[in-house]
Amino acid sequence: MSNAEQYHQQRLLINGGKDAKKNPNKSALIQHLNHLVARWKRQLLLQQVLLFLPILLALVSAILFVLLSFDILANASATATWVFVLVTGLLAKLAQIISSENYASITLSNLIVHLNNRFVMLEDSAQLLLLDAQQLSALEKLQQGKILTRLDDILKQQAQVKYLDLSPQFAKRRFAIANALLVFSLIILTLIGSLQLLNTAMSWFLPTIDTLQLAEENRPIKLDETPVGILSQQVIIEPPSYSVDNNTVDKKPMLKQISDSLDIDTLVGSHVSWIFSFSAPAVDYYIVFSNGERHQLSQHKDGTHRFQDRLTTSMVYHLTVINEDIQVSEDFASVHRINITPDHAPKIRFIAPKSTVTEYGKNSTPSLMAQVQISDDFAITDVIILASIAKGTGEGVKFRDQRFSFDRSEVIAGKVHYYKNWSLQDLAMEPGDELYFSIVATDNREPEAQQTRSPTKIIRWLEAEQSGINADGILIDFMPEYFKSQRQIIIDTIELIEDKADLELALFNEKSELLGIAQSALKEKYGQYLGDEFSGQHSVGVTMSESYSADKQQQPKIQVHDEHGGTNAVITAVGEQPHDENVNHEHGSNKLNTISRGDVSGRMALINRYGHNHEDSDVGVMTNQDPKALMKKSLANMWQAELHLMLSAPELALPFEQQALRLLNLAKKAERIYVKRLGFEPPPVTEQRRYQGDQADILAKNLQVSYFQVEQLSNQTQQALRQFLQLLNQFSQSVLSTHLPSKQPIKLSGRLTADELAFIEVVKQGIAKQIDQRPALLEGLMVIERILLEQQLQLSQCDNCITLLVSKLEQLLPNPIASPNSQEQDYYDQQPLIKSYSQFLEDNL
Amino acid sequence: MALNDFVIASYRLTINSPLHWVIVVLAVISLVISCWLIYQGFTRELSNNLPKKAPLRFRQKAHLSLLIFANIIAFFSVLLFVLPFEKQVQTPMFDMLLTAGFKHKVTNDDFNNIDMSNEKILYSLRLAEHIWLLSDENDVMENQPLYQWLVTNYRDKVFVINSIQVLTDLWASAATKNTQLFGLNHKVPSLIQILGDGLTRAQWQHLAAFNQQKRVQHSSNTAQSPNIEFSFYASKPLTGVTNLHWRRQLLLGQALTVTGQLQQAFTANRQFQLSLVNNNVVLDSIIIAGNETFSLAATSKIPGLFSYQLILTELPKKQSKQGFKNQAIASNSLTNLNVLNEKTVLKISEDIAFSVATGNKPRVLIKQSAPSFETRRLKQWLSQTGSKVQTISKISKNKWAQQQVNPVTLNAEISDNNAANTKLLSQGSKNTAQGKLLGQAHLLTQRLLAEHDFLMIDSRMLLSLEQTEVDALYRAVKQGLGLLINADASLLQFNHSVADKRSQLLSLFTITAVDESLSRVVASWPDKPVQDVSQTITPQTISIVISSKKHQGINSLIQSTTGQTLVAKQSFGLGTVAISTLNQTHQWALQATPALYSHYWQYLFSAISRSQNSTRWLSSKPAMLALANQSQDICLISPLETVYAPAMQLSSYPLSKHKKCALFSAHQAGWFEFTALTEKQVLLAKQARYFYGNNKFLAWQQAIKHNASRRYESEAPTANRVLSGREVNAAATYRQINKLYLWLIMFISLALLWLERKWHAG
Repeated sequence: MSNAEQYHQQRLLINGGKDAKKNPNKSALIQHLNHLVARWKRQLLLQQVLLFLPILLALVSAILFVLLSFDILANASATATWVFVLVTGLLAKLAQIISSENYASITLSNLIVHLNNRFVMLEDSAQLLLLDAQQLSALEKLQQGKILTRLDDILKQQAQVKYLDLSPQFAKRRFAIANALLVFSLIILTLIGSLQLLNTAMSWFLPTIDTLQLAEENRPIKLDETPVGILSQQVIIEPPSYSVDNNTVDKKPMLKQISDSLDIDTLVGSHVSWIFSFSAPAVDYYIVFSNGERHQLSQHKDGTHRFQDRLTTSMVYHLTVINEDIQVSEDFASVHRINITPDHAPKIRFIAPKSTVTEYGKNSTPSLMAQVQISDDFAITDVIILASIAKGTGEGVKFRDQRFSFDRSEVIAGKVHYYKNWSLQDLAMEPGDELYFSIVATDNREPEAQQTRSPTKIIRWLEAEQSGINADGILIDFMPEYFKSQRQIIIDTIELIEDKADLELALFNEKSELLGIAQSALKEKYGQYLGDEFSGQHSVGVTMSESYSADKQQQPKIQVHDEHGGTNAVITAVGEQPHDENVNHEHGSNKLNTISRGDVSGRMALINRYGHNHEDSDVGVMTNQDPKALMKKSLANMWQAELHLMLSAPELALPFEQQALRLLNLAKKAERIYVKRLGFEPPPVTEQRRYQGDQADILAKNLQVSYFQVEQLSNQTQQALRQFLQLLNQFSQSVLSTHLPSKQPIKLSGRLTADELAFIEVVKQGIAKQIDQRPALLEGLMVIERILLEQQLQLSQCDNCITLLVSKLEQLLPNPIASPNSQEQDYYDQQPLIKSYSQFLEDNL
Repeated sequence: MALNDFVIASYRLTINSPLHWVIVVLAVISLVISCWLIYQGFTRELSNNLPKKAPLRFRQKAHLSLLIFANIIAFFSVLLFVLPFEKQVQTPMFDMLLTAGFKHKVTNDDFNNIDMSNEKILYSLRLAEHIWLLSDENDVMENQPLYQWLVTNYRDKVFVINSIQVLTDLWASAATKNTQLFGLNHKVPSLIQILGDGLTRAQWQHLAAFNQQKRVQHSSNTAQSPNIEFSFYASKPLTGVTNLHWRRQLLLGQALTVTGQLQQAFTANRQFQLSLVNNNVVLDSIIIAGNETFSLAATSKIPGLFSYQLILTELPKKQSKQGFKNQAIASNSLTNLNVLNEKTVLKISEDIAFSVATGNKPRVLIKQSAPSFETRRLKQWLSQTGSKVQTISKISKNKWAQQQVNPVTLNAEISDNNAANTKLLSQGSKNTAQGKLLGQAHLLTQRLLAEHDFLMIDSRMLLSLEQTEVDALYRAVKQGLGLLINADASLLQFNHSVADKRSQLLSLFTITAVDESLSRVVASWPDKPVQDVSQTITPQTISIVISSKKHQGINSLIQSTTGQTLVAKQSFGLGTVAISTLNQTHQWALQATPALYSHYWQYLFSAISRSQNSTRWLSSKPAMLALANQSQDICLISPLETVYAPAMQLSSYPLSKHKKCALFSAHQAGWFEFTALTEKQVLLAKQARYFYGNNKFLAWQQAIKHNASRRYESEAPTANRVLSGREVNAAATYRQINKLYLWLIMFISLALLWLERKWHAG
């Protein structure tokens, strides 16, 4: 407002005041008009602020949102800041309005002008009101009076419509638009906030800067802003050159396999090439194996990354990028497996001679056809016979070593059979000499071939005549002096089981029976030392009839009684009582070398002999863990094995045979373990002092103090395994309440600490060692690898992984060693009542 | 009946409040006034018409009397309409309380009840005075189909209650007569028929308490005691496992043994496979049918909190293909069973939650007359588990070897002596006094014994102890020490006639020479791990027999399979004395497994060793089902006066300041950990307990309710059950009459009066 105008205004007011004294009507009007001016100003202020408020709100909210999103502003101070900015903005706006021309132009004179313009009734004379009556001419006075009343009317009318015409016009449309803008911007912000668009945008934004800087430093390549992903992947598996495809007829070499899957199942020694193309070719990529190896993928000209390796062990692997700033896609988080099938060594099976020792009488023509079946996964490169000929007796024994090769070979049912005709005379042998031979087969594995050496066979040319050959020409190799070892029996049994399909039933039965005889012999041999009663060689020479298992109905039933820890079997013939007195006690009868063929009574005799539980083999109760006890147990198993072998059921016999062997071995070791682990260790005594009887020095050692940590006394891997299982268990069985002291935060996400990762690494190594023997652990290993990768137990995209892992790991742990604990009582024995009661008891005892 | 009741025939008018009296008085006054006014009106009218007062004509008389009659009718109808006016009705005197499991399907009339036929139930529902529907606090009963069904059929007497408390509160308030104004008659019934699964023990206790309180109140007033009788009609049993029993807190090495019973409806006899499963691996499995009991066991290999699953899977019926069955039985995996027949096969999975802790490592002292493999093996095991062991072995005449493993602090006495020894030896002096001290390092002193929880001593050593040692030992056992005597034949030579402390200890047992036929034994003890055939342990030879005294029962810890006591224990003072005839248990570790060996010794230690005197939470009962949102008593034993537990209010147990208990209600299902802290926030003990959701162990929950209901019901006199059970006894009660007729009379009479007035006015 200019000075002139102010002055004019003041004048008007003064004049008005003077007039008002004279004319109260006029003064009231002027007062009314002044009031209207003030009102106008007020309304203008209000309207302007209202128009400004939505814009301000939108602006402030947007700015605050950005500040919050970028973590420039803390959440806590956001409200205060919001209020502060709002108030400041409003105050500034008010100041701006007040100082604006619009505001200044709201004056009484302008109001009069407005009234004149608006209302024709006033006849452009409203300003007369402001003039002093004395200054007015008569006409003017007249006009003033007229206007006075009219203006009064107008004002009264306007008062009724709330001074509609005497108020500033409110820009409703602008107000609506501003509000719409506010709402719109708020919606946008909410959307951004809820969808985290800003974070995404930031994630594009930030690495770009870094990689650009990196690019400037190292190489001028620009990276994409998207996470690095695998565009294509290919695995080329090249089996080892020696491998052949057994499915094809002519056994062609195995072909290369090309697959898109990164899980590899192949033969040991295969060459595997990985070919990847990544969305960001410039980055260094690594392939990390679970055995700790890490190899960089080499980049080729065509933009692919490759790595080549020869695989020898089963393991898991994953891809990684060393640069942590680079965002990688989920492809890098997945773990892949390498499952390696080992190449087996050649298998050698003797078809003839079956027995370890073959004997010929002095006058017989000693010639023997050795037939051997040798098989391998792929191919046999070399087969030789290593033979030794022993001449002479006693200290004059001379050995002559010789190599032989087989005469011929032929393929029978897909397997190669080798034949060698031994003629002892051609070998310049004489009666009394012995030939030992074994076969060494070599396969085609590379780089080192695998060799298998067969058990040694003995051919003896006896100096005396003997009758070991029966009418059918089948050699019964029962010689009390020579035994098939338990191991040999097991090997022969396995062989027999494998041969079952190829053999005729009668032959199979006979072979089984022969094994039974061998088992029997071995059993008796050991039994002698244990005081078992045996009546010579009564078991020799009993063979089964051909029609043995032709009629299933005739098969005896085996009842196995499991009592008092021992297993006893009773065989009951169909329709016959098991304890028939007549047959029952013919054990002692001498049936040496009688061969009963197809006669029922003979079979029953046999059954009674082997099946009847004449005396408990384990009757001797052992007082401690001595070899004798173990031998007894072993014998009990031999009994069972013999029983099943004699009944042509080598499958049933096998477990008993193996158990017998295990116990025999245990018996051999038992004494040694005992001494080593528990024996009293006396203090060292020198020879000089040995017989002096001076014990003074012993006293110095009368107190030994030793400290043991639980960890020291147990297997490191198992310890780690236990810890890991406990960790997994804690994760799956979360405790709900927060009654714990603050020291122990509850693990919810399963994020792992460095210590935990360390023992998980130990577990991983432990499992990796066992993976070749137990390929099923590979799945568990994959989960562990993923845990190590993600460094937390809460695995993404893997619901049952932890359960699977726990079940696999638990199988690896032995049964726990129980820990000692004190007595638990529901009362506290320092209570006066209990004390006095115990006192009472004591007094009465 | 109150004095203010006016009984006419079978109707009753109750005027028992000042308000009633005011109404009646006002009404009478207004009746008198109105009649007088009417009479006045008639006489005035006549006097206006005629100068002389003339008597009323007959027509006028009739008019007047009719008017007055109508007035009186209106007056009475209004009064009766306002006041409580009841009619006597023959109503049955019982309420029905419907609990969970009452009716599953609304569509049919099957009420799922085994004690009462469906017709009876319908009849009872019709006759019952009130039908209370007990709902869970969380359920919105109004939306339940059962509630809808009840409301449509028995609209005016169905009430939903959230708890028994609500019911008793209603009854209590009914007794104070406040409800009379509301017109609701929640009188305490004399009989309540409870249908469905029944009530829990806590709910029954509440009802019983109410009953008791009521009886006390009534007995003070009148001799008559209107007791509430309860009769319970059980719902059909759900199929599932009940009566489960397993220890919630195990030590590492102890087997989890879950025993229980299969529950299914009496009529159904289906076969089930019950498996104990952890991480999809079947640990133990059994096939059961009918209501057989079962026992499944498994041992956890690590300490921690566990939740195994008990999975009950129905086996297909025999009628189905034979192949199916074979497959199901042969199969060990659960998935196969699912494949069989998903529609008909029932499968229930329940969580068996338990915790496995490592032991608290008792301190062990071994004194022996010669080094032995037995103690050496024991020492090895104890040191493996981190326990403190001290052995004192006699290696020659007057020569002792001592060994300490994991000593917490070196035994002061011993170390002092030892230091003295070395000093002595270095100096080479042969002072006799010091030599004496040196020679006494092996002696059992009170201090040494107080530092240990368990003393193992062989009988020869025991017999050769010096008198001071025996005294110390005697006192130590009295104060809580666990003593295990490895007995052999030398004990037989002990002369019991000398009445000293040693013979007091030994006289706890009677030891006799062995009977040859019993010399070989196989030991067995509770929860002994199952051995494979290949791991069968060879029997032990024993040289003596422990037999019980005639007057004292012997606590036999280990028995042979023939029932002979091999290890026996007796409490002595605060401690325990045990005697063992098994002196070669070290063989088991090699013959069988270290697990078996360690389990044997764990069992012995937990039975003999000095009882724990540190702060600990008592373990929960093995047969208790802890549900969320139910209060559980959780107790703590502590030698400390003040122990704090966060979020709990511990209060001392009666008669003991060492045992403190608190009520805890879990707000949701899952593991909860309780901690006990000292004033300085040092952790003393902690324990995790599992609380089950309300939808777990439904069959068990039902069985618990059934049992509790049957028990509480049976506490009521049996006569009532007979009386109330089958024949509903009725009694006379008053019920508010239908006031519609009163209202009609009132309306008609008032309308007539009004019409008369209008007509009269012209």
